Amino acid sequence: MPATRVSASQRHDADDPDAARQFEMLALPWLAAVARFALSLTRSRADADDLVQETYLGAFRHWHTFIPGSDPRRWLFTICRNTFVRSRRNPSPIVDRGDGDVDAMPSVIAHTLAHRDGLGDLFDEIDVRPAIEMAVDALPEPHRSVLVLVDIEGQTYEEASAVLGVPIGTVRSRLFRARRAIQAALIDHARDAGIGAMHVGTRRNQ
Amino acid sequence: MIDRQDDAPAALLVFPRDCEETVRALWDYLDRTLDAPTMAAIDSHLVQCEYCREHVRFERILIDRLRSLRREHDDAVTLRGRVLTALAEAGWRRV
Repeated sequence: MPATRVSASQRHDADDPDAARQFEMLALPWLAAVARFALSLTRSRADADDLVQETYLGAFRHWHTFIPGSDPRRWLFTICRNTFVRSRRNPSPIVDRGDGDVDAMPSVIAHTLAHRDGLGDLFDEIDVRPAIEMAVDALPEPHRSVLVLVDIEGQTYEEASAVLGVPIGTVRSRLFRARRAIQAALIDHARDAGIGAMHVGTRRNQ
Repeated sequence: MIDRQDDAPAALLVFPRDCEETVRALWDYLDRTLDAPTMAAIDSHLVQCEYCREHVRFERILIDRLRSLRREHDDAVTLRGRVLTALAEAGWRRV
């Protein structure tokens, strides 16, 4: 954690002679965490490096908006995520299908049907990592950022809520929709790999 | 405990009440965001219900595989140097 804090009543100013020192003490210690988050978002080392640089340049330019006493890590993550969303070369459309309540039932039904087709053990039978990476890349915003923050970065709903500026209930519903999409993509991937057909064939031969 | 209806189309899948409550709350259960009595009730159901246990296992592996995508930057020192250079060009002066 950064060693120093400035008074909560004191706002940074772009011309403040102490701004450089405060930026170094409060923002730079989080560079490794921002780099990991950028890697999770981009899945590419080169793109992550660009994103980290743009994040810190943005943070420096807007340092006067950082509220002393608030969490600089969350602030940097917010800048990083927003910069990433703006910079995607072929951005997926921003999806807003409503953030109403959602539960795990559709995924359970999908799993039930997949299980019936012999796909219930797909994690044990094929290397799903490439398929998961592709499925994460294909997730539209805002679902992708939520999934990265909670499921990959291990942040709590509360932390993700603060980074994204949305209520916790919205984090939850977007996360569940993202997981459902990932699961559906994996089941499709397993079907394409012939896993279900292999099981059906085995059953038929028994 | 559910009696799996192997030939039922998706729209006709019916879950016993205990199973339905469990599977609807499955992700909240895995994320440990439920209150203690609800967590305990689901734990008790899972002890008895192989079907729901299988769903929990599947979804838990899915989340574990997602978590495994996390990786540290393998050359943070070089990246830090690059960022400091860019900041200096933007006007930041190290104190």
